[in-house]
Amino acid sequence: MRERKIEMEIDDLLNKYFEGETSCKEEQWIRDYFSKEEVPAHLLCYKPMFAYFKNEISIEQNKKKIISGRKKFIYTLSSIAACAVIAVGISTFMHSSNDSCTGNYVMINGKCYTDEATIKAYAKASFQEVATSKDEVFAELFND
Amino acid sequence: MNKKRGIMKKRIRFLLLMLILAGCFPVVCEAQSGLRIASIFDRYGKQKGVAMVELSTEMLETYGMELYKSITIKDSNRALQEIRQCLEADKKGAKKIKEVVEGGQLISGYYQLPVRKEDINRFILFKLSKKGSTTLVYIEGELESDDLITLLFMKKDL
Amino acid sequence: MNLEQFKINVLPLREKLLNYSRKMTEETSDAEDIVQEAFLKLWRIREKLDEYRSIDALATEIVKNLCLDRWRSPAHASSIELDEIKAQAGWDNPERALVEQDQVRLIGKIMETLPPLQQTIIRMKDIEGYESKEIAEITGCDIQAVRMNLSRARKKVREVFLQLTNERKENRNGNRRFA
Repeated sequence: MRERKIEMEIDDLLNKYFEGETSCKEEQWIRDYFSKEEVPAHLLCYKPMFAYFKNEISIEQNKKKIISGRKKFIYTLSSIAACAVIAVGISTFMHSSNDSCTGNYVMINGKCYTDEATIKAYAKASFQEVATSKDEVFAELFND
Repeated sequence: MNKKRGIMKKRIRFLLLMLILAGCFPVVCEAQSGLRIASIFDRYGKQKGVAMVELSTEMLETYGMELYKSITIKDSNRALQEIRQCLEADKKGAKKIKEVVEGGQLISGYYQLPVRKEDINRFILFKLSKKGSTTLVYIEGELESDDLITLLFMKKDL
Repeated sequence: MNLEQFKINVLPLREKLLNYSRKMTEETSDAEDIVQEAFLKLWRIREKLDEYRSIDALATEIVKNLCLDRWRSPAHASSIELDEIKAQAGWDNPERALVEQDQVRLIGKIMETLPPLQQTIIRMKDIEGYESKEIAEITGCDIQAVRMNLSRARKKVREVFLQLTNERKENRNGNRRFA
């Protein structure tokens, strides 16, 4: 009984289909119906048509997947590249603001001095600081 | 439409995350001379009452040095604890250590650190003066320990 | 460009394009079909429309080309194409029953012989999943016209397919009799 009911349904639906009046949902239903093995004899001739549509649909969907996959890949790649560029930029900026002094310098109270005389003077001074009254230490060292 | 918005949000979040990481990256790279005392130079170098020297040219050649860094902090009470902690950490594995301790606290130190690359010796010198100022010196060069000691001894003739 | 923008930017050209194609074709129904086809083509490239300086000029160009195509192959030479389909679908070996794969391929070939507008509409509806209402909005014609084109296309496919497969059966039976 139920089979007969579905059969009548499918006949109606098919008529609707060939009048161009089915919705996409109904067409999906028809395609699913015809992809089953068991189709009444008088409807067998429609199988290839809907099988064709089903094939084409999956081809379309695969195409879309590939395109969106490619887009994602390019997006990820370019965002990594962008971040790398930003990282270099930030590090250069931070570098330059940290070491407003570069090369040889003396920084006194936060200010940079790069003239040789000043640098030498301060270098000598600091070296002498660590060197003064280390006599005990040196005595020990000389005993090694 | 809603799906698209959801995906956009995810992408923005991802980008932000990458940006933050990218921002941190250079900071992480900076502190990489491998030694804790590097942070002393970084932190205190620009302050008032501090003199920091960095030398790396032919001026040093005669002494067999390639890099000379020093920092002198006038009122070093705050910095002292930190400096002593850094020295504790950095002296691990040192080839030669000479320290002078007074009243339980380190007041001067001489450290020869393990070679980093290609026979480049590394030394740390530390001194807390009677006036309360601290000097920290870091030297890299081909000179040997004896050479450095000679230099220290001959302080007047530099 | 989404549908709303498309409707705002492209559909206003309809009257103008219709007049233009009427001058170039003999039948009014052809003119209407050509304009629909043109809009569907523009819809296909909607992402790139912003790159064109004048969509008006582009649309006119498309309509002109479609009209010229009609001139070159006026009446749909269906008999010639049917022979082509037969050849390609392995007709030469009538003894072998057409496997379902072959039948599906046959449908594909038949689809290709449909008039371009019908082909496009049936692809958009059955394969790409557009609703009739959407197609009507894109082409700026009313939904009944879309349904009619759809109906024609689908019936044609069915008709040709049945014709070819029955022909084949008859040939086979005919051959058997003489065997």
